[in-house]
Amino acid sequence: MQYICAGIRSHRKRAEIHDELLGHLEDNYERALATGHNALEAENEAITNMGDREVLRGKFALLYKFSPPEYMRSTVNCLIFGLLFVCFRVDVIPLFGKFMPIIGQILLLCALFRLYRFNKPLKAAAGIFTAYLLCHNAAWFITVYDMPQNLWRGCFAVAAAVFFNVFCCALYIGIQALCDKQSGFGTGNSFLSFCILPQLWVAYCTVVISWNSEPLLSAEYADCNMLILLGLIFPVIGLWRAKRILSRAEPEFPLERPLEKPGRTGLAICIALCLLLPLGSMVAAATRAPQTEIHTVADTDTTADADAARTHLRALGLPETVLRDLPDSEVLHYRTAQYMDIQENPQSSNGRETGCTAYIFYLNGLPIEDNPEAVSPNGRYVRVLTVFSEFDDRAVHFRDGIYLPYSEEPWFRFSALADTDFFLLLSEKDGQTVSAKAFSRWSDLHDGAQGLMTGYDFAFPHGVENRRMYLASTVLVNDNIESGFSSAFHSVSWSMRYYRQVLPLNIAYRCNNERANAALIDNQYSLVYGNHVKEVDEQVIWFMIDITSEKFGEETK
Amino acid sequence: MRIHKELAKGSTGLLVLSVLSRQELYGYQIIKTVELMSESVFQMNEGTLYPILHALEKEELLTSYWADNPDTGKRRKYYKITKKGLRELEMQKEEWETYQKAVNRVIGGVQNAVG
Repeated sequence: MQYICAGIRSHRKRAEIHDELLGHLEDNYERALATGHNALEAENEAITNMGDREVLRGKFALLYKFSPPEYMRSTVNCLIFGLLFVCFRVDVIPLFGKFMPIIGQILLLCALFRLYRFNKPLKAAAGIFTAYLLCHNAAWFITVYDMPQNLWRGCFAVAAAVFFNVFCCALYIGIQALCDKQSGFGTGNSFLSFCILPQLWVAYCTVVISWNSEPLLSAEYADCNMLILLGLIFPVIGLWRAKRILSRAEPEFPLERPLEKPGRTGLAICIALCLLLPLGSMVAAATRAPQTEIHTVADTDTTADADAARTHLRALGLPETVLRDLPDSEVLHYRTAQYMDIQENPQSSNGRETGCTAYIFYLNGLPIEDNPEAVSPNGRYVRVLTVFSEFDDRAVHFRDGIYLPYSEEPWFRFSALADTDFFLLLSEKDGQTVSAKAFSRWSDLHDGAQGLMTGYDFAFPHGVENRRMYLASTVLVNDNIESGFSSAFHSVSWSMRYYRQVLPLNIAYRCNNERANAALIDNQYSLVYGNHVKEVDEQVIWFMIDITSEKFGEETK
Repeated sequence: MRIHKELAKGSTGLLVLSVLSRQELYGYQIIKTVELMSESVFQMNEGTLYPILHALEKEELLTSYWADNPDTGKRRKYYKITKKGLRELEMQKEEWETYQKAVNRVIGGVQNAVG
């Protein structure tokens, strides 16, 4: 009966005709039984009375304008577009690129629920795809709720990429087996077998990009994206050919309908999970209350010393608005400051206004915490207080936040005392000054260009005004140049990142203009030390400080 | 007497419309009714009937509905002639009568000529 109806395009009509013919068979069978035939004879007579099934199939096919069965065509279309949507994300409208993989997952789910019953490779593909879904959505959840720079996110994303590519290989094998069975063994769509090799390369590229959590069309991974595109061309062509083969006649299917009720229920649940998990994580991230507390400046027992330090800072010229924000523990760092430089809105190499001011204090002697082991006989301590007063209003991952990494890259050499040891995020809410606490401190494993980055995740309360951020560190400036390029510089770099826009702030200290210079060479900032030229990040903001005897009162080498 | 397949082929639609003009029937009943009324001259099988039924339905000469057979209680697809089907039936009857008279005249004329 299924064979007779196989040429009918419409699923509903196919089912209806099937029932109609079945009813007629039953009537013939019962009539034959009533006339004295046994069950087997009655059955044979009923089938014989049906006539030539090929003729009947052809007439129905012609009558209902035989064309490739719709469900098989749409199934393979779902496979093709599902693969493309999962692999590529294009932000034609904001956030659309983030939802493309979800759309692709749903399309692949719909296709797999139709296909998985045909053969074992397709069944395996369905199972592997489920594993991919779980890992991918877990990575998505962590990305949205926390930050992309999370080790767990990276692990889940890499696992998802691996599962996805294994799924693709199983899919190609299964579809090819289906085509071979449909069109005769060995004459089917053998093209898909060759897609496994480029798929391995696609696998490598998707794993790399997954680990780095970059949109697939970002310039940074243009080479990988091109390779993914080339790798996917072959499977897409193969699947297109498979669609033609599979659409000629409906493959033999054990069930009357492609999707039984339990299957449809399972599909609905999977689709719901695909949508709800990411949406839930976005909602949770957006509604998670920023951690803030009322900001007070009195935080040490040495009130008198702090007051004296504040007086000293006023004398040096530190603005009152800044002084009012700094806690006592911070102002005590500057009690030995001899001189203060101010750098307003330093020029960045890409011309962006930075909205920050650097107050550079030349200290006399050691910082507060004596650390004899870190003292160099030729060293000078400089503490830099950087104030950011302008922020991009765009939210980071569905909340107001700041990603604050600082680099430990060797050529940004940190001395033992160069760690950024002071963070303060302030804003005004309902007439009160509140400070934002960090969500977490983590390591950014992605930014390989600048080495291991360590960062903080903050968030502002909603509806606040006058947001500002303070960073400070004490740097030992060593003018004893013995080896290498990096020893000439002791620098601290911070960067703020909004939606991947980086505004690194590098404060470079020069001991000797002839030994090391920051120079603009061909519109590219570079560090020149002897015969070495090191290009810096194109969004570097430079404060150039000359360490001279005037500021320290004695000769320098 | 067995009728040549090609001879019966052209009149199957007329037979089906004619039967359904009297009462609403499902496929098995149509076959049995035609067989009975033709005294077993016309013995259609499913391979002949159902494509014709569906073709006539597509042309809107028939409509169909699912209902339970009051005798057996089983669910079957009943066919019912439409007004358009009735008009078509009248037209085909006229054609058949014209055809029948013409054939009889030719047959009779040959006999007369021979005789």
